[in-house]
Amino acid sequence: MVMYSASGGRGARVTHCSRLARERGVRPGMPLAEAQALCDALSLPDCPLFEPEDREADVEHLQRLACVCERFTPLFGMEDTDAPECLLLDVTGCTHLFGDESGLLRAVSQEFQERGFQTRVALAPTIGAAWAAAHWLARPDLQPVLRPGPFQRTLARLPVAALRLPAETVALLEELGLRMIGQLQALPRSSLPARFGSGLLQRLDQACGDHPESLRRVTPPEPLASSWAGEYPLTDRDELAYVCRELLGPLLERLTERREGARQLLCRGRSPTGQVQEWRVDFASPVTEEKHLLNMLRLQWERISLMPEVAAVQLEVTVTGTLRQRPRNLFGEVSDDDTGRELNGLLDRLSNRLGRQAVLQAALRPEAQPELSAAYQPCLQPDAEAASPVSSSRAAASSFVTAAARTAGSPEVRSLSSRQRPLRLFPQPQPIDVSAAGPEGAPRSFRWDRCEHRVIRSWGPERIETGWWNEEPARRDYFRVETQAGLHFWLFHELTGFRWFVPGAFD
Amino acid sequence: MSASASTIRDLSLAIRRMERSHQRSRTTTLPVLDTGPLLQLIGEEALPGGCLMEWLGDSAGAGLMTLALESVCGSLRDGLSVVIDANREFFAPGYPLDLTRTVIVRPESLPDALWTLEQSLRTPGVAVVLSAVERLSAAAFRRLQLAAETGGTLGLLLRPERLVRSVSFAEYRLRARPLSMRGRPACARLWELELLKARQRFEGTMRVEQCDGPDGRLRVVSGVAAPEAERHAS
Repeated sequence: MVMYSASGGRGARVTHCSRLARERGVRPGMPLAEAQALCDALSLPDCPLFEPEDREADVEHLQRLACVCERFTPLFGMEDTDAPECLLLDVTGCTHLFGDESGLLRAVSQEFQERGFQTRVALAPTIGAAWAAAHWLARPDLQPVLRPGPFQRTLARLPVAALRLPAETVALLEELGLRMIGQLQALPRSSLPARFGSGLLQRLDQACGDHPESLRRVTPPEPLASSWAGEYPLTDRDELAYVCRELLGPLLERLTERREGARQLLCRGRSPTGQVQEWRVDFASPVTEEKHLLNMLRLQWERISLMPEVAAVQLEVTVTGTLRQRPRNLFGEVSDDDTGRELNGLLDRLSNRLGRQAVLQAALRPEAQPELSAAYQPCLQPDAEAASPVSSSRAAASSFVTAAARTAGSPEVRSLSSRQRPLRLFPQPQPIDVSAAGPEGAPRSFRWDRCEHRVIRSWGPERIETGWWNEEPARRDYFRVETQAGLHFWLFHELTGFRWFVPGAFD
Repeated sequence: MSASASTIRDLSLAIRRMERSHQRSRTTTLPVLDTGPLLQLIGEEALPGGCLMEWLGDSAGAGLMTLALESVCGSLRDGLSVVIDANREFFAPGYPLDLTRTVIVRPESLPDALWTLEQSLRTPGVAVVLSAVERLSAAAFRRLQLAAETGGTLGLLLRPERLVRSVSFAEYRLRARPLSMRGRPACARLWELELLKARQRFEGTMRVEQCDGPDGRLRVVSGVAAPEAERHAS
């Protein structure tokens, strides 16, 4: 992935890039056109995705990631800059809970790795030193720990850029031959502010612990949860629904105050013996209607059988989304003639009754091998949506089509007409006996599904070969054939094993 | 609740009902982009919404799904398409409609498939629902028809040809048989399309071909004829 921004006044430039893009020569600061040319020139299938930078969204996402750190320490935050990229944790008194300092760092690293992030983690007595160690000493597989005594010696061996200085100050220092922090410390302190500004001395003192620096704390949102425990257990769905309705009231009030709706609701039931059952309900758009939430829960209860007795219930709204303003009608009610709302309701009902994996959206992929040329993703993905708050229900209605549009709309994916591919593809290509005109010729007749089919016309061969780097490379000649009865099938001849298969039919 | 509040609530409900009935009448006819062969056969000026269209045909590779989708392909502009793929064999690259506006549902059982079909038909905003349905009781069929009317949705039901004598609540019943295209190299496929039931016309047969090329539009080869007249002519 390549992120770019056009705010600098020198045209669009790359601000960040992934490892894959870096391997192709893309660097931060490079003009966007040059980066695109570098990626296009190679014309590889896994071309990096170019996205404009959105700083506000980045900060919001970093805040959410900071909240993940609540399991390590109650004091966590972000670095205090306009474009923060670093999470800061005050772990004083918490390290023994993870064995020692190294154990804590490993746990932090693993937590983010499981979430798909590569991190560089370091521990030091000051914020400045920890920042320097994380940027200049840490690696994904190495988490350095700087101890209170000798950390200043380690700091002295780091470059001046590790002091979180502006790029101009770093350039000036390097021009003067001051490359390491130790060289800077050797100079008379009184001469530094006049030459490089007061910021340099402040950063140096902050790193060494001579100047206090506070943490810009991130406060995690209060969990939207509500629970009930009764003297007598609940024994049927109606009782459970009544309790859930009672619990939903205060939750929905809090959501309305925040101008948000539920995107995901978690209902946990506990039996008198301590057994826990969980039902997860997802929504295509933020929901605040009690009736809709309860209906979706009921659909879940129809799908997954309930435990015989429920002694305690907890409801938690785990994912929320921003509500959009909807016009009100003459009677002050929110208008309900929105088609998007109806469609979202349908997606909610289907997904919660049949399961998210049963309600899908297809996207074409630039793969030659037919089995790999389409991807089917669940329509409801509230976790992914949470990263970009939904501002309107119309947007929510169309949000499930964006992933497909991204791939299906690209010219290289749409180069084949839909008429060249069958509408039905069997889960596995079925082996058939074929009589063909020569070893690589078109089929003349074949036997499939206990019927003999005589071919009167055929189109092909269309050779499909996949690269040797694939796990199971394919070398096939595909034919579309018409039988004497007017039926159309798709056949292929495997060039490696000299066998014939029918992978699908033009139904 | 006071009497005035109750009156206001009743009035608001009445207005909402009137608005809904107006919406329904608006969606009963889908926008027409071209007068395709299907319209010629069913004797309508526009492809109707809010009804069921039953397609009868047999065998894998007979092209029943292709024919049903291609028939409505040019007439759909707005709305969502729902494909009920109980066999998990739907192949997206061969799909002629807009994939970005299509939801594929894979129910695991027949009751779930029927429930999905009814829910989708009942939802305004869904333009077309495609499903292969074999076993269908008269009551279930009637429920589907009412659901389609409520939602203003066009339901395309693909069913085996042997059910031709069974009870049907579909407003349109068509039987399609693939024909061999020997001697017509320029064209891709040929079907004989027989109209068994319709609002306007009650019998008729035509031959429809799908041409090669990226648009793959359907075209009438021989015109509409009543079966007796055709038999007499042959």
